[in-house]
Amino acid sequence: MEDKQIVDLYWERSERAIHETEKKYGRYCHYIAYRILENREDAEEVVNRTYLKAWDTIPPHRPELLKPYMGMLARQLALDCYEKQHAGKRDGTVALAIDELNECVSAPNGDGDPAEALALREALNRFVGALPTKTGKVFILRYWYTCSIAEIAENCDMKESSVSVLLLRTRKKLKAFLIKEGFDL
Amino acid sequence: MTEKNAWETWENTASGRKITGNSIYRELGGLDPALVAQAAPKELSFTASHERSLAEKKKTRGSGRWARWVSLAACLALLLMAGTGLTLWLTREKAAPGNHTVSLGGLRRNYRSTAFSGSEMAFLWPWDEKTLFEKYTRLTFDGKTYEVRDALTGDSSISADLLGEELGSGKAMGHDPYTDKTHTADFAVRKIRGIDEDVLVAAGLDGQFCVYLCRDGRQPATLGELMDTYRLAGVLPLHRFRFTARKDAQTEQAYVLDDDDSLWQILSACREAPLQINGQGPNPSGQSLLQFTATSEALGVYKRAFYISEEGYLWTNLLDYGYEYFIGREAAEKIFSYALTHAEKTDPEPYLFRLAGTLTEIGEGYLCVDDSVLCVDPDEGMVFTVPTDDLRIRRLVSHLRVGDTVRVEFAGSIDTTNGNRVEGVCSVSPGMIRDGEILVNE
Repeated sequence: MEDKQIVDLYWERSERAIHETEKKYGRYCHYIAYRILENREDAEEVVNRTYLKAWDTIPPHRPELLKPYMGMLARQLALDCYEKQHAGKRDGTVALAIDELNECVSAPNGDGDPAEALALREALNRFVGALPTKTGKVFILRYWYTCSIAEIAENCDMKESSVSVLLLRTRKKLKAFLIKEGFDL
Repeated sequence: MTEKNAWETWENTASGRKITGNSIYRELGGLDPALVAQAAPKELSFTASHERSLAEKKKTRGSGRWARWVSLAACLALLLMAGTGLTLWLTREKAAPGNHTVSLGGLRRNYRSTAFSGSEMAFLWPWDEKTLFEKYTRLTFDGKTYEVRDALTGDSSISADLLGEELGSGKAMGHDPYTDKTHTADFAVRKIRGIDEDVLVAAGLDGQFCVYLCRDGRQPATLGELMDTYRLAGVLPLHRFRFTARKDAQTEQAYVLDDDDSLWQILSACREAPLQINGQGPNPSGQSLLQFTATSEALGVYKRAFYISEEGYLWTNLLDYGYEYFIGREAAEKIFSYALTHAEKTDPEPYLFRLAGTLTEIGEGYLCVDDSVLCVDPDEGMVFTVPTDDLRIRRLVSHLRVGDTVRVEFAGSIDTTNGNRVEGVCSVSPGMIRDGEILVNE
């Protein structure tokens, strides 16, 4: 079934919307949640919540691309779950990814404000949108999908060492970009 | 609203953090969906991940399948549009070839196969190829937000005799995903006769009006409030229904009722019936059920559900969300008794009728479809005329060629006195035939 038809089902408040979403994007959402939580049951719980969140947010939203929309919901919910479980201490692939991103900043902790968070999101969109296609894909696979280096290498037909080097360079570029954009690092 | 906007409005993301690795990681969640979609890992990765997760030897926590979330959602939900359960011959896959009598808007045909499979075509039309109400889906008027009622494949235009006084002007908005541009237009807003403008209005341009539903409205607390606010007795005919008996839930019988006045009188006596905040859905305990098909031009709905259970619950999805009222067992018994003694048995009706065949001609303002290919006796084939004056059909024509196998969905009837003209056409999709079945292209 096409995304538009599934979204229409949500708008019609048809229960079938959830069945169709599960059929088409269930494994995708599970993948995203599992990469973050690394626990099957927690990932399943998050995927369940993802369907419910989609039910609650469509309408009013009408996503043109349902796949990344579901992925975004799953990622967000998985991250909330992860933070709840790992308050004060971090481990797993997410911790590694965050540690890598901490290289872009000089003070890893501190208080911020919502406006800055929004500005950061916009800046990140500009930054990633301007990256060469392959670099952008590698960056997103690592920091959006939380893929391991080996998985990225497999997905992009690259050597693991090449992936690591590419990510290192991209993080450096990101740091320079954020400084140029006036962020307080 | 675009998904990008949706992402921007996602709660909990901007919760007040300085720039840290964590905040970068979190805010990356708001990346442009197109970028995220392009970078998605290969499908194989999902399988591998899934298998890895299944290999975890951890104790299960019970039935944590999504089904329980579905049932929770279902409590809030509308059932699939009322006619869905009637689509019988169209939805079975791989039906054995043979002799099947089907009804196409009242016209009986003998087909050798009745199974269709595949998905429908779904185009994201450019702005200029959208109808007025496909373009402008949202309206702000008098400080409130309204959404267009998508009664039937984008068409919920309302006829002039249902329009009431002019209320003023509203700002209509629509988004073009091709250009990421939001368009606005000034729409005339009019009252729909007898219906409170706080909940439902007609809006449009140049004499073309459509029904818009207020999204800020509150839930009607009683059945009386629901009936009065939307003038249900006047605008919602309760003429077609299905009856499912408690002891034989697999057997349904369709009925048609000429006069629904008595039903509305019984319902009017239940005005104080309270909204069930924690309703269980249309019929959780499998009691006998009357399932009325709710179509109303004034309300902008097509074949929605209006159910009355033997236990005394009235359940409807007229307003998109499921509302349930307890009218009592006695009132329900009166309604059952009246409906079943005054109605006549009839054939079930699908949500939409579908005919299929070979496209034999593309003319000015029409298409011709010959269904011989599906007939038990090809000599009994008929040629149907499908009007293409509606933009929703006209824009599909360039995707079709003479000789194609096509499927036509329609909501009306077939006028055999006028060249087998198909009324109420909603879509035309190309397909192909294999072993007597129509496969519709994805």
